Amino acid sequence: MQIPEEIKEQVKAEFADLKNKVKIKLFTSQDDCTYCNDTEELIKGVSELSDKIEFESKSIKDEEAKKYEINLAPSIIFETDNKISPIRFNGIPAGYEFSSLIETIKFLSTNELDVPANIVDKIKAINKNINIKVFVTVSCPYCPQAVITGFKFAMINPQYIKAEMYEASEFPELANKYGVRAVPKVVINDKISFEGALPVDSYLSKVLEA
Amino acid sequence: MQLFLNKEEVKDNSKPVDYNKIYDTVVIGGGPAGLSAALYAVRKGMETALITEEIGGEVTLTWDIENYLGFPKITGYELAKKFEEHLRNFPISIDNDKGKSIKKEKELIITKTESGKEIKSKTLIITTGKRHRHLNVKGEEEFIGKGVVYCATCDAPLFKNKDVIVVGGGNSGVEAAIELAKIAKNVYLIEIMDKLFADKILIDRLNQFKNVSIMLGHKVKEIKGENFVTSVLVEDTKNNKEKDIKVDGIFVEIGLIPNSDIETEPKIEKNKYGEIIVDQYCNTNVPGIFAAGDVTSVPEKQVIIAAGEGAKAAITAFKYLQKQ
Repeated sequence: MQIPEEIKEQVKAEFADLKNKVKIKLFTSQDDCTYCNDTEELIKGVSELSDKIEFESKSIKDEEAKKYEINLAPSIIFETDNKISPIRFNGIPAGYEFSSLIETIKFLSTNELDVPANIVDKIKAINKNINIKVFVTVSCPYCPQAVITGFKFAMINPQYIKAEMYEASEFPELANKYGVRAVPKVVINDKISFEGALPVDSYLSKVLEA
Repeated sequence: MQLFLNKEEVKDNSKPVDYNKIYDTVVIGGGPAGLSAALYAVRKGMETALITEEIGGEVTLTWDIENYLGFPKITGYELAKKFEEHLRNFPISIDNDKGKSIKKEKELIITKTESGKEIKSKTLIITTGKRHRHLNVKGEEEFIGKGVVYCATCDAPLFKNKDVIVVGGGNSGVEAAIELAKIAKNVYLIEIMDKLFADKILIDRLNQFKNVSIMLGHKVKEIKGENFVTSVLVEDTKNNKEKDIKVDGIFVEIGLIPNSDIETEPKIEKNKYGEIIVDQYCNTNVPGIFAAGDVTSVPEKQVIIAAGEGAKAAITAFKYLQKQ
C-alpha cells in the first residue's frame, strides 16, 4: 500500500532525529499471502523517507529466512551495527501498527527508549530467555502500546529478551492456538498471558512471572 | 486500511504535576470534556492539572466520526490525537493516574489518586465520562477476552468466518453489526425493544447484508462455553421462549454507564442513572466543584457536546475563582 503524501511529510519530520543506520529486512512469500505485496510497498515507501534507512526484501525460502527462523510472511526484522535486533513484526504494520513501525525505527536508530531507570535496571537483570508475543489487529488503538512496551524490553536486554508482533487476522491458526479472542493479547514464554495494554511496570511484573 | 501515526505536530509544552502546589483547577478525566476544560482553563491563565488514565477516552474506540464540525470524516483516535496535541501546546500539567476520592475542606480541594498521591486545588472539574454497560448475565464476566467483546473496533477482525451476536440496536450496535457482517459468517443483532434505535442511514446500510439476522424483542439470558464462548441463550420477550444460538463471540453495545463512583466529601448529588447533576453552568451542588461531559446529567452524549460542556465548566471555574 502507498503512503499518502500527508503522512509521508509527518514521517519525515519524525525521522529528522534519526542517528544510526537501520536496515529493514522484509521476508515475503508468493504463496497465499494476502498482505505481502502491500507490506513490501509500505516498507519500501518508509525506507525512502530517510537516508538512514536501508531496505532489503527476500523470499521466506531464502537461506537467510532459515537462519533467522522466519516461517511466516510477511515478516520484518531489523539490523543495526551488523547485529539483528531482538524484535519482529509478523503481518502488515498498517493501521494503528504503522505508528509501532515508525516508533521502532526511531528507537533502533536513536536508542532513546524513555523507560524509567529503575525499570531499566530490572529488565537488564533478567538472565533467562524470554519470548514476548503480542497479538494485535490493525484497527485496535490500544495495541501499539502493548507492542512498543514489549519491544522496548527486548531492546534493553537483547541477549535474553525477544519480542514479536503478530497481526492476528493474517495468521488465524496461530491466533487460535493461542486463544486470541481479544487484542492486544500478550503471551510470554507460551505460558503467561494477558489481554489489554498494561502500564510498563505491570507489564514487567508479568514478564518476571514467566 | 489506513495508516495512523502517533506523532506530535506542535511543540509539547506540557509538564509533570507538582504535588506540593495548590492548583487553580484540577481536571479529572481526559476525554473530550476534560481536554476542552483543561484547554480553556490553561488559556485563562489558571494553573491547571489534568489527571487521566488515558487521553481521548471512549472516543478513541469510535470507528468513524462524521458529525464533528470541521471534520467530515475522522476516526475517533485521530480526533483525540488532535485534541491532545492542541492541549499540549500549553503549559498544562498532566499525570497518568485516576481520581479515587475527593475531599473539600474549607476552600481547599484534595483529590487522592489511585496510586496514592494527593493533589491540591482551589477548584475541580470532573469529566470522568462513561464506560461500557455490561449485560449482567451469567457467563459474561467469565468470558471477557474469551468471546465477550466490548471493543468492537479492536476485536471484530478476530471473528472472520465465525458466527457472532451483537447486542444493542443503537448506533454503536448497528455499526458493529455492519463491520462484522463484512467478515463474519452469520451475525445476529439482538435488541430488547421492538425496534432499532440507530440512525436511519446506518439501518439502511445494515439491511444490505444477507448474513445478518435482526432479532427484535429478544434479550440475552446467559453466555455459555468452556474455554471460550460457544453459545448464547436468548429469550423472546413476547412468549418467553428460549433459544440457544451457537456463536463464537458476543459484542456488547448496550450503551454506557457514568464513571461517577469516585468518593466525594461532601457528597456530590447524582440522578437515578448515576449521573452527576449539574446546572446550566456546570455547577454541582458543591461550590468549587464542577462537572462536564458524559458523566453529567446533561442530555445527549456526543463528542461535540462534551467538548462544549468542558469549555463551559472551565469558564465557570474561572469566574468562581475571580469572586473568591
